[in-house]
Amino acid sequence: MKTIKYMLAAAFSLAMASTYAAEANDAGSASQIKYQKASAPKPAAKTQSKTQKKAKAETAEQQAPQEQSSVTTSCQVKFDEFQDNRSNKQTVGTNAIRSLSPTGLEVWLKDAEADIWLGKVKNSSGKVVTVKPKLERLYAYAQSMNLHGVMAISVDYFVEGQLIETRKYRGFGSTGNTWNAESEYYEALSYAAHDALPKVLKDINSLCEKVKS
Amino acid sequence: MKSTLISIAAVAILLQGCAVGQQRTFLSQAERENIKRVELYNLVIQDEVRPAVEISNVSGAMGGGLIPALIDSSINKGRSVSAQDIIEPLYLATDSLDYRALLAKEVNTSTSSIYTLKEKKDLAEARLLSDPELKEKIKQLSDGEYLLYISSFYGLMENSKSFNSETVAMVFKKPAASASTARPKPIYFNRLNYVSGPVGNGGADSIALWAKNNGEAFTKTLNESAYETAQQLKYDLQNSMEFECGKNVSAEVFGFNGVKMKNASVLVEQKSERAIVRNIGNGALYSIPGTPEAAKSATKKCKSNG
Repeated sequence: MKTIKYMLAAAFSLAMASTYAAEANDAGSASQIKYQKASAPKPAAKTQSKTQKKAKAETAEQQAPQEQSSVTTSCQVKFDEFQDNRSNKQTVGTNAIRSLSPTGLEVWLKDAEADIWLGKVKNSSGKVVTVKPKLERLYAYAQSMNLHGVMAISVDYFVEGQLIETRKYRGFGSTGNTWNAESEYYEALSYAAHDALPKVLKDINSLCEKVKS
Repeated sequence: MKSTLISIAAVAILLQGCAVGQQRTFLSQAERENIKRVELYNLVIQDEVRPAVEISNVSGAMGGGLIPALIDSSINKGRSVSAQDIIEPLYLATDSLDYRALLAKEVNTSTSSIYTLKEKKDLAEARLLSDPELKEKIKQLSDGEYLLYISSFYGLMENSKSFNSETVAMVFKKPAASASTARPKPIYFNRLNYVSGPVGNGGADSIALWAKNNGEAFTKTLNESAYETAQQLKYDLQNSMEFECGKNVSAEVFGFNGVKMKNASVLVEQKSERAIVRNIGNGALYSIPGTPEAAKSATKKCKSNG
């Protein structure tokens, strides 16, 4: 009986997979990338078998989004909008059937910035620090049965209008490949943003202290 | 949850189907003479090098099953996160390095020495053509024009000690007006591979050496990979020999899942620091470091096809 259930479920899965493949083959349609907030917790599995727990022990970092805590600085921080500096602006990878060339990346970047940076910094009356972020790379790929997202950014830090320093940051996020759907690849990219952007917040404090006098 | 597990397994099975190696289809002498003008589609999907990840295969060891597949998935996710941390110094040292530019330069040079290229692009393409787009491209070829479609993948292997690239190359000709609407079969197909020599003791030690002096060793290797790939392509497009009359050798290359294995091969060319060999099983070409060891017994006789 159990075997029949598995076979039925497998047949259903294959049917669904072919539906996604058919959608992906429709070259005319461009998918839309939608940002997933870092504060939205991922539903956790209710129960775990011993083997699952053992496997998790080797998993260095699960990619469940974390709530970002706010940062109090000794300066006034302003965030510019992202500049798209990627050498490949056409795609963010492929799902093996077609390229991932989503629309809405500008909005995605603004949403990520609003979610992780804006409103998270408590300013004081010190010097004005302007953060000018540049998107250097953004892509997702499949490996084993996982989907990985990579985000690489560089940030120019200006103090009172003068460029003080440029720093580079990278973020990495993963999710399970359930349907090989484009939205799942974009989910991995959101997780990559959740990993990359908070690193800037950590640096702002030390920079503000450095330029305080 | 159960249906999710099953669907993961189903997709994995579908993807595994793609990994089955295809036999080389060489160009006949008649076809070689027909090719005058070529449209080149040089595809490199990756924006940068992939880190070395030793893929867990609990599922294989246990004879399959959903729980082992889930264990693999979880372990591999963790290993990928660790691999990204380890490779970061290399990314930071070589962030302006673009394999698309390196490969485009070498392939443009090698192919334009034997054909008239319709267009030369400074960068390889990033966009995978969908099946309908590829069919349309082939359909739009003018008389005497052929499509040379190459697609390359590259990454670090063997705990970051080695660099490996693989290029799948195909030539399509315009189908007759009466031909079926199915995707035309390539008149040429092969896999062209490059394996670097080992660097360091693996892991962070190898990454530090690859990244040293603004990624000097890594940049040199990527340049060599692009050059060797372009030269293999030129050689293979000009030869209608099924197997060269070279020495039978045993070549150490990377197989499926990044595992190092020894392939029965024919020596095509021995250079001072590298060798070009052809896999006896599927006809794929490999540029490997050093001198391959001689095979214990001759397994294939050379065969010429006119």
